[in-house]
Amino acid sequence: MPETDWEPVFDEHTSEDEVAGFVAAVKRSPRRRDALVRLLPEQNPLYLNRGANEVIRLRGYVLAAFEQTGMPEAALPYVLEELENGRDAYLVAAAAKALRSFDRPTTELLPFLFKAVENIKYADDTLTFESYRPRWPAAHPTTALKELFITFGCLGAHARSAVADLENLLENRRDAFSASVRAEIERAVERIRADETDIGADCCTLPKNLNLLAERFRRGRPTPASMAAVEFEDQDGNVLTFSDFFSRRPSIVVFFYSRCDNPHKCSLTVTKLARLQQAIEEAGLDGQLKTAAITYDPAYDLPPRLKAYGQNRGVRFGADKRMLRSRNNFKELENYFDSGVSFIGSIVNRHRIELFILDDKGGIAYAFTRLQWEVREVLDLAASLLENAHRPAQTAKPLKVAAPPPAYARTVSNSILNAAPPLLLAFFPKCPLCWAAYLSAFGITGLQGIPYSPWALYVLIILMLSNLVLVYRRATRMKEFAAFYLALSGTLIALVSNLYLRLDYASYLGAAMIFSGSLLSSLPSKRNFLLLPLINRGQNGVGE
Amino acid sequence: MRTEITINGSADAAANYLPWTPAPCRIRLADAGGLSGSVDVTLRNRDQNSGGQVVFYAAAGALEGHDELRLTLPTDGSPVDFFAGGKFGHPSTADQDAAIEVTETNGGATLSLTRLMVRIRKDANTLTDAERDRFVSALATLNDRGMGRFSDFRNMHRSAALDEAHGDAGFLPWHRAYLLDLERELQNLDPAVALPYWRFDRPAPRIFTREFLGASVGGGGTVRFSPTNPLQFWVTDNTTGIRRTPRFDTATQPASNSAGAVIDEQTTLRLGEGQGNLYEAFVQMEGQPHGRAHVSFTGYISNAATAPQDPLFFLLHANVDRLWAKWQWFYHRFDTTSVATYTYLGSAEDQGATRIGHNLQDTMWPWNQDTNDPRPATAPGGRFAASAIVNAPGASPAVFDMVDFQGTLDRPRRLGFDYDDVPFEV
Amino acid sequence: MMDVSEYRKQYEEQLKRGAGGQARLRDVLDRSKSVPERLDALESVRGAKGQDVVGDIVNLVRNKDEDLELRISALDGVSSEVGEHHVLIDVTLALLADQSEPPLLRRAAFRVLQQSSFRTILFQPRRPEYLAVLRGVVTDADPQLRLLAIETLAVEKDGEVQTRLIEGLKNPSVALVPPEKAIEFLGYDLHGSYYPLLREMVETSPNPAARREAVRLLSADATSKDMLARLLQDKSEDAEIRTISATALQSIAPAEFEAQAKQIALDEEEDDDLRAVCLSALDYFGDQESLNRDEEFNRGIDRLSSRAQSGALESASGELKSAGGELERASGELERAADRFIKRRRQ
Repeated sequence: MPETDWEPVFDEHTSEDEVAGFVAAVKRSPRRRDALVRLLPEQNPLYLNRGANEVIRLRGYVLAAFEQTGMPEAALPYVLEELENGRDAYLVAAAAKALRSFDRPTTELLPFLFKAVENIKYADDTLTFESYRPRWPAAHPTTALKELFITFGCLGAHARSAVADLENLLENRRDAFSASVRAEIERAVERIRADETDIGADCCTLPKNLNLLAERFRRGRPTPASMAAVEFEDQDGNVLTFSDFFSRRPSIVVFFYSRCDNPHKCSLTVTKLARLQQAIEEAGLDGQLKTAAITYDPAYDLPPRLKAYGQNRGVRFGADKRMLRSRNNFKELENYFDSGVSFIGSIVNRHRIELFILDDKGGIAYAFTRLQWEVREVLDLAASLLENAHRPAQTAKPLKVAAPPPAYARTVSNSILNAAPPLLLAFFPKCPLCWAAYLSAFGITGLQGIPYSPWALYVLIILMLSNLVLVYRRATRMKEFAAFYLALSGTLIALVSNLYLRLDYASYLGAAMIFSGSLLSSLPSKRNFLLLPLINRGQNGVGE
Repeated sequence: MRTEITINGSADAAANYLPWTPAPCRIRLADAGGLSGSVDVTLRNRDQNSGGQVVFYAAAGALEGHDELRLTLPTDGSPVDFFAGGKFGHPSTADQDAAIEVTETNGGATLSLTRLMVRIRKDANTLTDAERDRFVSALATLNDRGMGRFSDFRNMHRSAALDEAHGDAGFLPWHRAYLLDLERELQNLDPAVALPYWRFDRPAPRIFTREFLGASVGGGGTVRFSPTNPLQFWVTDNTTGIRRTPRFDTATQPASNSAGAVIDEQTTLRLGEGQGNLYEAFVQMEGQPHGRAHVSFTGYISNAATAPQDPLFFLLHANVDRLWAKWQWFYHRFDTTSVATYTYLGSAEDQGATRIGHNLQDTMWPWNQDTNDPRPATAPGGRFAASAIVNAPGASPAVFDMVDFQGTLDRPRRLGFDYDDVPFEV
Repeated sequence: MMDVSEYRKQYEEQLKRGAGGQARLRDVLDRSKSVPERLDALESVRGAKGQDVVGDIVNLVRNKDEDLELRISALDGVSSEVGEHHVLIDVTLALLADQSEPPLLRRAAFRVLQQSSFRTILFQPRRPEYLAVLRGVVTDADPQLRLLAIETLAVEKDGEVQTRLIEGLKNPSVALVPPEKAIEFLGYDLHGSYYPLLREMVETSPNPAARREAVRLLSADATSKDMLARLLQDKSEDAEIRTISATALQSIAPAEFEAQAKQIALDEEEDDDLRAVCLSALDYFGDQESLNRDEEFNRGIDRLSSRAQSGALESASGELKSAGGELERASGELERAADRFIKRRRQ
């Protein structure tokens, strides 16, 4: 193997300079950029026992390198995470730099950039990426805000819909930006205007729930016996085991620690847990779903601290609603949840946002990680588990959003249900075209995790047909009709099998054909197709 | 024969707290002693030489309060309304040290004695030891070593939320609400506590001591406390202690640093002189004296994002609020339809409006629990604390609700607090 | 009785007395006048708003040939105008950065910037420049400016400054500030990586102030529990270190603290102040149920309290000692603590 392809294994003893040297080497050899993605999961031993500032420097330097190497999709969750929730100017600037070299720019990145502008305007700083250890005053200083607006400009035609908002910033929020940042906004607007590329049907989209992982698929195995004995202490000092609490009913678990100083992470997570509890009550599911917040910092977050942290954020407490600290074996918990957290000693130096939905046996059904989760979405998924849980179903009030599924949906086997979420992610729509196709396919295969209404069938039919039109248009442009024929056949099979024959397996065949046809049609190159699974691996933090 | 008095619309002793601002009261004959018709009674302070003093107003619009009030009470027990407020210059120094005595006008028999407190925000430098200890004790309890309700107040004033309250017209009303919310929480722990203020334009030898807010000793950055002062257990952001070093001699000088001293009260009140004394000019006090007072120290208090980690913050801002109250009183700035009173009279959606949260009709974060952009993502502390003595400003106050704090133009809008040197005047 | 209308009249008089006459800008700028005369005239233009007035005063501030006191006063006089005149921030940043300017003026500039930083909507856009200038001041020749810059950057959680503070603690020859200050500043953004060093400081540093600050920061480090318990028990240890250890231990190991605190509170051979601290901690934040159940402990506190009531205080009681301009507390704190402990339980 040539020396340049050697991929080092880093750990807590690796010097920062060595890591920086490796990053520089990858910058010179961009085809190795995936190795940088593998440095991003918090579980990477690189981050173990490092100070929080060191972790920031390392991650920021890695992220910024994507500007030169091009940013693969697998890095997207990490980049969006910083834009959505980051409070450190260096990391946010690095994320902005990475994003401008994203392989598949899309208008859907814009809200993340605007969010970052809002987040960082109180915490902006002069910084530079000239070298890992820059000397001040730097030759080319920049700021997070400047980098964000440069990225707007780099998105060119894809940022066309942001022009009005950018101009609004210049007009109505003039005072919120320094003269040099205003100049950057103006340049961005000019660049966007100058880019006349037609992004029409080629426009790519981001997965709506990029942060939703299908753990159930990955972890289709029983909860390890060792987990049962993991002991917790709750906010009132009561001692209970994992199997005491995480059994009999599905539960929703968030992770946090009270010393977290990023208000968009733990504080917001626990605040949202309180909102989720309220939503559970309003849906009439109190008593059927449990909630727990587990601290990453059990040595410091003693019961009074757990209680205070929850109370101050509106958390309700009860037998099924607890805040927990591990008493004996946090490592076991960390392994089980594959927690995206790293420590220095027993103290957190970096973590992602994490929410898990566990089934009635404590098995991980779904996981929302890194990006913000929506209360409604989590509730719907958790409620969907109740369908399969051993519970007195008659006590549950039906959820407002989830009407009873039609007959064909209920016949779906669990194995397909289990398989669906990861597919959802791996093949998540990369364009409106695929989105329409997927929606239609999901409707047909009766994926219960997606809420729908009685009119959904008609919508799906329309979507399937629209999808066909879109695939056809692309096919004529690309002069390649295989994908169209595949999608057409799939649509016909799906419609006939559902509306007339009621043949489930034929529906799946139809759906699969629609999927394949649409996917084939949407992919510009084989290379990107191969990268897709990386999103999943990167997100899970199991990339190696 | 026996009379009964209810204060602030409640028979509960928890409502027996009066600022200067007159509060609605009722009196009735609970036991007419077999008489029919009516009985003349006189209301006055039980002890006119010590303790808090009350003045009486026969009607809501009465211009002046009186030391005595004569009323005629029906013997059928139906109530008669009157108003009572603290007597300016005569606040209580202890809980329930004031008392309204009702006597029969003819004959002088005592019919009832109602204990209450004239609860007033005072210059911290003039508090009695007992008043000081009660305040310190309530504050330390609210903090509960970083695990109490105080952490909400700390979280309300973090960097992501500073735009809600700084750099624009809403600076004064937001902080007025913030202080009042905190004061009500303290009063839930000890109803005799009123927030004291630090007159930063005067020396304050009794504030920066081990017994009160802590003394800076030998240049050390963390202030020291006496062994019995519970503020020694003060924890914010998981750090024990209060970092504060004055850049001036607190015992002999007004707040100052290398750029100079804070401007004094009179100069502050004249900020709009020659330009109509408009709010727009007065609110510039956010820089001087407010900002200057903050940066007359090093430590938590000298940075906006860390300032509420120091209890001094609340005394400093009580003084800022007092200055606004005094300006309002002096220039009669309570009319919420006038730009002299407040700069932006509409709401954020209006033409010519300023940033959301700073327009008169905007509700204020965090009490409105609005976490949608551009408001911060979380709204710590929940709704605005209720009071046992007034209904205003409600659970989700608007900027508007903070202006007429004495209800001079609209009685129900009174907020239930007053400063020792800012009278109630119609 | 304080008559309100009379009060208003008096207040009007007060305001009138302080009211300035005509703004005398010409006198301020007139270099033929003496400095005291010009300073006096400067007061008359304080808070002046016009573009011309502020512009003239800014020119005075920037003029290196002008009297230093006058320049500082002039800067002070326009410091509130940053909202209207953004150029003031540029001027003030430039003064702070300019090492050829007198330290006194630069310190004043720093304070004006710091003061402006409270007006967040106005100041936040300039934050990156402000921090960049401060980074340049970290190694300034003027120790006071250095200290101010380092503290501000520490409050802003600046990683670079934190690294330098740590380096200074490890190697005093490169320290920018005294160790107790370095530890104090690190406390603005406490990281797990500091704890081993802080523990080492507590164990080995000859500097009592540095040790005190280090113990304080360890109150969030569960792994320091044993060390804190040992410090609290060690009667030969510095009294203040023990006091801070008590607070710290209560934070991370409340049950262990309570057991020790009860013993100390009743131990006649212990330092009275420490006993009072322990008793106050139990009083306010102890496990009230277990305290109430502990009859022996309550009897002990009764004895202490009655000592206070019978006036059997130490001879030093009531005396005020002056030290460094600050009024030292009176002794008898222990008895006060005991008295309060009992009273609060009776309420």
